[in-house]
Amino acid sequence: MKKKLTDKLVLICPVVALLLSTCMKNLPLILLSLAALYAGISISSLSRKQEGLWLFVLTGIATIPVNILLSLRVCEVSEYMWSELLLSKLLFFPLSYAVLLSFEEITLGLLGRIIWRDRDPSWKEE
Amino acid sequence: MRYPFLSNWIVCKKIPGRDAYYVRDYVLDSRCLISVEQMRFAKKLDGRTDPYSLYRGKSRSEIRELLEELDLLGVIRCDHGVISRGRDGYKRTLIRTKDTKAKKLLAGLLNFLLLFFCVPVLITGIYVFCNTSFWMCSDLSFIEVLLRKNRIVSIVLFYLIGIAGGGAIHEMSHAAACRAYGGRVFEYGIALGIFPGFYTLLDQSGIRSGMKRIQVYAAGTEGNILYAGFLLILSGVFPGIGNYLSLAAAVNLVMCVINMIAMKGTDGSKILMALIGLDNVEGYEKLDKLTQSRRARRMLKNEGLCGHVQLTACFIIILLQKVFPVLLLLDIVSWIGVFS
Repeated sequence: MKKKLTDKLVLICPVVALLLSTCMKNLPLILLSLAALYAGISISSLSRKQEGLWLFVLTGIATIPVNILLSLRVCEVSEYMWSELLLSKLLFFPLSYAVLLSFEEITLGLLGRIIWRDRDPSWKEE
Repeated sequence: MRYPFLSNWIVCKKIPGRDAYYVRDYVLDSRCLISVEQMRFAKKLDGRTDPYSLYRGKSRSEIRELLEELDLLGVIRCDHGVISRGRDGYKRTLIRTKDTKAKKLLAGLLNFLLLFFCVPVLITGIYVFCNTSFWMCSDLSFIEVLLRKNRIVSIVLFYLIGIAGGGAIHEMSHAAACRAYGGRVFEYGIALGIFPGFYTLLDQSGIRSGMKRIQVYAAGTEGNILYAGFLLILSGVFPGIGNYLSLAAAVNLVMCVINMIAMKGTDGSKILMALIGLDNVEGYEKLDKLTQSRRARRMLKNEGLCGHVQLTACFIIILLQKVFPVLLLLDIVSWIGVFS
């Protein structure tokens, strides 16, 4: 029971740290939390042989504030360059969020692949 | 290709001790046995020769039957090089290719270039482009004058150079990476759908390593980055046509970004699927099955935290794949509205 809780905490703590460090806009802390996330996934028995999958999901959650901040910045730039229309801003925000999310998932996933070589998660058959 | 021709998607091997060939079609994923006589006839078909003139000893109806049988088995292609038309878009074979040792060696070299030199070349290109006056070594003022006279034509021309060259390099890079890691490349062709472009038919089932499969998917984008870098270097060296060359480079960089987003069919989506272990043919189907079937969802939830994680991953990918086309379309409409 205690081990299970530790395993969950090992995975959750870096995510929370990453969320908080982004809100504080502290770059060294963000990088440290990211390293902790990789370490947590490596250590936890919950994510054993499914490291890529866990990284994919946890990254999607942990990067929410970063993506919101960056998307808002992108919207400001697009507003300056193209238009001040609220509609175009509303449309541009989710697009830039989705683009950033897919780029982050790919970059961090590739880094994960380098760390955990050739470990394809097994998917349940129906 | 007016007449039927030997399929370029097959690999055939003579069975020792038997008058038969084992044929495997890697694109249609089928296997069959045919006689040596049938294979000899099929090998003579090159798409330019009338098959009825090849087999003198048999009647026209017999040859027609033989052709129909070979077509059914997938040994020959009677599609005149057209793979699909209609709703699925128009796809046509342009170049049929065979794997040779020399090609494999060249592919290995190209793959090495793509892997290790695409980013340095782009950075060099940006540096050269930003310091044009220092690098300028050739005066192309006569071309500049010519291009200035026909400004719109020049812009369209360089846009096409960027997009067509980029598309061709993109597909060739996929093929090079696939060949370098032991996969098979069958053909290059054009595809006309909502967005016209090129395609490569390849088989990477022989590539076992996940990282190598990912490199095959990523090679196209690396090729575009390399091409954009070269164009930027050229624009720095020939400042007279620098604006046009940088336009072609920008087109390639946009192609890279679009290719890396997780929209269904893009390389980015394939890489993402490979990263979570679903890059096989049934990958998308499995995603749909897992999210749509209540039984499958319940089964995954019963798995505990790991099941929940799998389900969340499915939902994130499906959401990205469904959201991207809608958002892109809406954004394009809004940009058109802004500019008009």
